[in-house]
Amino acid sequence: MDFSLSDEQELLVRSTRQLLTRDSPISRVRELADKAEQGFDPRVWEKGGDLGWPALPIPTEYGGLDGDLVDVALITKEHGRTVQPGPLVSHVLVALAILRSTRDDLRSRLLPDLATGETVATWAFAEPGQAWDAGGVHTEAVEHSGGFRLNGVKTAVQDAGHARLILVTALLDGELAQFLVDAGAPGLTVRRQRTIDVTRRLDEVVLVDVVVPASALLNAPGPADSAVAYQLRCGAVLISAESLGVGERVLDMTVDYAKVRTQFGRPIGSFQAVKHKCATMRMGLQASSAATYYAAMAVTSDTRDAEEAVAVAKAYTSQTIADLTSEALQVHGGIGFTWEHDLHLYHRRAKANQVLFGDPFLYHERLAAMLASSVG
Amino acid sequence: MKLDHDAEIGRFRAEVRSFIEAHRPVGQALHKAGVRAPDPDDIPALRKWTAQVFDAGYFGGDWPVEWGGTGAQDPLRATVVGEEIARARVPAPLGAGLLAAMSLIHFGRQEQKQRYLPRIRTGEDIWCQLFSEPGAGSDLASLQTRARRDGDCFVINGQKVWTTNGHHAERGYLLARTNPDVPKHAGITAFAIDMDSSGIDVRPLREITGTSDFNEVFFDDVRIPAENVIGAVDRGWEVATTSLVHERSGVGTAGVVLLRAVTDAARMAGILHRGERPAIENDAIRQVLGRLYAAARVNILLGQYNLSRALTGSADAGDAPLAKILYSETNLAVCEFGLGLQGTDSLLTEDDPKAIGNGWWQDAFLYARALTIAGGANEVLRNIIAERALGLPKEPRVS
Repeated sequence: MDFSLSDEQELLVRSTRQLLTRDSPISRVRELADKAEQGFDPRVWEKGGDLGWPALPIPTEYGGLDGDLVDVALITKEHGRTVQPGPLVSHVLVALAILRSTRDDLRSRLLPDLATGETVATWAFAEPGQAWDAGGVHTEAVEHSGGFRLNGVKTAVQDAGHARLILVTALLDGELAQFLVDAGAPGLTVRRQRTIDVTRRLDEVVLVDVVVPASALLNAPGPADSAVAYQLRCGAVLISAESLGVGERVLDMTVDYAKVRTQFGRPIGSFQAVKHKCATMRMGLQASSAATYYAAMAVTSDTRDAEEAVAVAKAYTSQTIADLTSEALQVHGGIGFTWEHDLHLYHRRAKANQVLFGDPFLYHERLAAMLASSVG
Repeated sequence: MKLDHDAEIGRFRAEVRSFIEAHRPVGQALHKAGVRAPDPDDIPALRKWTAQVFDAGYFGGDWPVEWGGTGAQDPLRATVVGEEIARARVPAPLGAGLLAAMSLIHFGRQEQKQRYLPRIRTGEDIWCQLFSEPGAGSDLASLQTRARRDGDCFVINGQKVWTTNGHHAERGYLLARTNPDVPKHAGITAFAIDMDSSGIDVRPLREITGTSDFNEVFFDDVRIPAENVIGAVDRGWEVATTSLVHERSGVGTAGVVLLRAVTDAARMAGILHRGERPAIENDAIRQVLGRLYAAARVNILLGQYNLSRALTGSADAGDAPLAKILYSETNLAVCEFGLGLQGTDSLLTEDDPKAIGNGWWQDAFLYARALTIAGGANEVLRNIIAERALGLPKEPRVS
């Protein structure tokens, strides 16, 4: 197995890091966080579009770059390094959903605008208080004068306030189905949520008798099951990769601090108690990288163990990186506990990423179920 | 980044797997958990097994051609061999021969190679590693065993401890102090020593597991020829660290052992009960099972990640130590879990007729601590990661 980056991937990572450090450094991210309604900077999204972020997983015939999930994961990791806001992950998931559906007409109609980032799309999946899986979907779709009528409440929808297109996962006759809904549809309201992650905009989307035409049905009951499972896998991989960026940056910050901060006449990084924490952080980061990149490759190649690989990566990485940022706070001591220090922004992002696209409880249970059936 | 679907490696794996099934050694104590010294009765079978594995090229393939290898460094194949040996739960070649061979190949003189390397390959010589001392474990360089030059010989006096296979070994790979007046790393010399030399006293230690895998070895005016020095006098630290790097990376590939243990634990949880229901239907147990399965998989993936880093030249001094820490700590957690699943039966050991699996989990649990200590205590390895991979300042030393 080869975990090294190709020349193209190196270039992509380098140009993305340059763009984000120049146009959206952490100071700018803070400003955006303080301006409640802004969410993300459209100019950065536009420049990211020029670099090809949203186009990466889309085939060239639809204006894309014909890349894969690994490429996108490398970009989301860079986003994690500076806790970027913005709809990249959910936008890409909608593009992938359209790409894999049987709706040929939608591919040529929608994908070119999604590839440039001109149309922002997002996925409304999770529901309040539920686990992040198909069993948590209660939003209901019923047939209504040739189309469908949708009712339900969605939570933690990425940048719904800026999206033009919202992919809604709902139950039709008790089975999963997916609908592409215009964000301006009557009956659809978006409320910005206050969340633990202050640098990312997440919204509640309420659907009250939202009527959509028959052509809005992206995935009918049946095919929707595997489509949703695939989208969740991709989402879990991308958010794990974002956490790798969080962990990498926080470890750097912590090691730098431990080298210069002195107590009792010597740098705190020379004390074993601190060293051992840093070594454990490094170990967790490296192990999480192995798990996440493998999952990205497994989903890309659709290997037999792809579902398992994602469950392993998401459960392990999200917990490990959250622990890493928590320990980083301990090493920083009092200064790390202040609002002015950037550390809490990373700590918050890591904690949010633990939940988004499925928490460790969910995936541990899924792994246990796989194991039970394999030995049973 | 790409997945490895190399058909050649797949064929090689299948070949190794069927080789192991065809030749696996049978013995009384070989089913025990942990890395154990064998029962004396099992040793002939293990010598034969060692010879077969070398003969097939599964070990020692990376040795120079004149010593029976192909000269090709092929870490990928070496990893496959390690994984398959772990998966089949058969012993690796007996003793510290591979470790000694590494130092002989890199630092040994021609006649030393001629004398020792062929006999490692045939299993005729079992080696033990005479490094640790009662006062020098993790701080290996503080060892006190003395080697004093006397004519054509060195005279050895002192004591070693934790010597695996010391009671079976024909040869020893010894570190002793030849110069006490220089900084501690600079005055150590490496030797090859015949274990039947006069003045060597090997005393088996009885360990936490109740068995004797390790020994104390006492040296009382033991005379060994000066030609037994490996490398240069006072330059033994370099010789030892080169071979130890080899040992630590080997430990990291053993994630397969964990996966097998977790799978066994799941099987056991399907049979044992919590109240009226199978333990595997208990939510709390399922959570731990899922977490440990993930950890075991991560161990294997980390091994492959580190191998990829090594092959592309991006590895650093932290890679092997962190793989070893993760492995040994996950192993401890898996063993505790397997034991805990057994409820009141977790108290029973192999001496009890009702012990589950003949007490395998009890052995594994008790042995697990050996792995967090041996090959560099995890605390020492964490220092190495912090200092060499992260660049944190060194612990102030009193020297």
